[in-house]
Amino acid sequence: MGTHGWIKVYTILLYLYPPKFRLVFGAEMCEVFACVLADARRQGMPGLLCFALREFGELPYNVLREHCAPLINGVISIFGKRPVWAGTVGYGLGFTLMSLPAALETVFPGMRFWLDTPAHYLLVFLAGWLGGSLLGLSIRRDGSHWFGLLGGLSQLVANLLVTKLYFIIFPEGTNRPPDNILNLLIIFTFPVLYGLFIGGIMGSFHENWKYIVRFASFGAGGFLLAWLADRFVAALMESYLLNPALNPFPALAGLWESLFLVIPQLIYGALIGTALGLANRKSRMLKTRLAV
Amino acid sequence: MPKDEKFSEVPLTEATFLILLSLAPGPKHGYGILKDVEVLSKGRIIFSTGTLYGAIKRLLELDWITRAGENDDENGRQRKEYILTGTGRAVLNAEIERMGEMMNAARQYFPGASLWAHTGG
Repeated sequence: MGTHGWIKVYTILLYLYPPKFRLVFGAEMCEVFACVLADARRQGMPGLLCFALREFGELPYNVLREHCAPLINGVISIFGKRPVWAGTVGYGLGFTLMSLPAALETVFPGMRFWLDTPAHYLLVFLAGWLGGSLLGLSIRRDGSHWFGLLGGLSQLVANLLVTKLYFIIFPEGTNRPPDNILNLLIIFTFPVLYGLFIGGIMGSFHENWKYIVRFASFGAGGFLLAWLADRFVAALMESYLLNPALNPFPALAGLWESLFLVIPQLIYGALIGTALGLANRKSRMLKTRLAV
Repeated sequence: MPKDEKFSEVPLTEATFLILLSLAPGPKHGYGILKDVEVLSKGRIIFSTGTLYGAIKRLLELDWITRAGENDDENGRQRKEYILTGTGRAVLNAEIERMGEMMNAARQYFPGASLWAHTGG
């Protein structure tokens, strides 16, 4: 096969690579391939054989690696970056704030702190505002107060819509366990919807649409994770802390009950804030300087 | 970039180290890097074209190298060249420093090793 034949075959094989990679490096790779081929030809048949084995033998691995690179980079960008911790603190405090009225009732029996609408929704707004503001201040962009406002409003709207939707589908509320797999799946979709909405709104603060998608997906993931953690911690605390046989200080039952209400909410908010803080970190994919 | 983040990739793989070393004197195009790595590794590492450009892409993403522009080769063809960035140079320095420390430790604990004949130790 002549030089042109080899290059033709290599050019066709380049189509196995992802289009973006081919667009950026394809022409250069063909040039380098041609140069190395010329070197190999000068070394005779053994050189040409080694060249063919190297180029075509490594090709499947290289192609696979480039196709997997976005996924691997995505994982690195999530687990290899520190989040904006102000989001963790802000949302953690915000969600704790929402659970305080109910917690106070357990410490002061007989007194009624449970807030009905509209005071409850004011707390919901404040929770989102606190988390959003701290996140916005930490990002240090102009107009971080808008970030707080968006946080508060998105939290309020999501709470109104998702809670209403939840009680339309499940009029019995959260007390009744799901009786079939479909109901269980529907229950799982609520935190995802909640997170998608809040994340999407927070992401719209950035001009780049990629951030809206990024914040929405991190928000959905964060809310789902937080919801699962909340259920797990609540179940754990209910089994041990509120069990009179296992509780070391039964006299402080009211306090344990208030902790039972507050701690899962603190974890819930902290996880959501961490997810939104992570979403704000630029991933390596966004930083790539692959200008053609 | 914070110091701990920049140096989190150290120690480097041999291939990455040799690519960065190849670019230390100045800008080079892909074929030049490929030949340099072959010479620097005494023929042990010969990249395929796909492996080389996979590594170049990763180093571009890490911001350790950047495109320096295009230059004509001896046949008059335009070739894209790559150059080390400040971060890339710092990482290379850190790796060389780390290797030097390891060599010093080895010299101290294993003075009779045959490799000193090759390294001038």
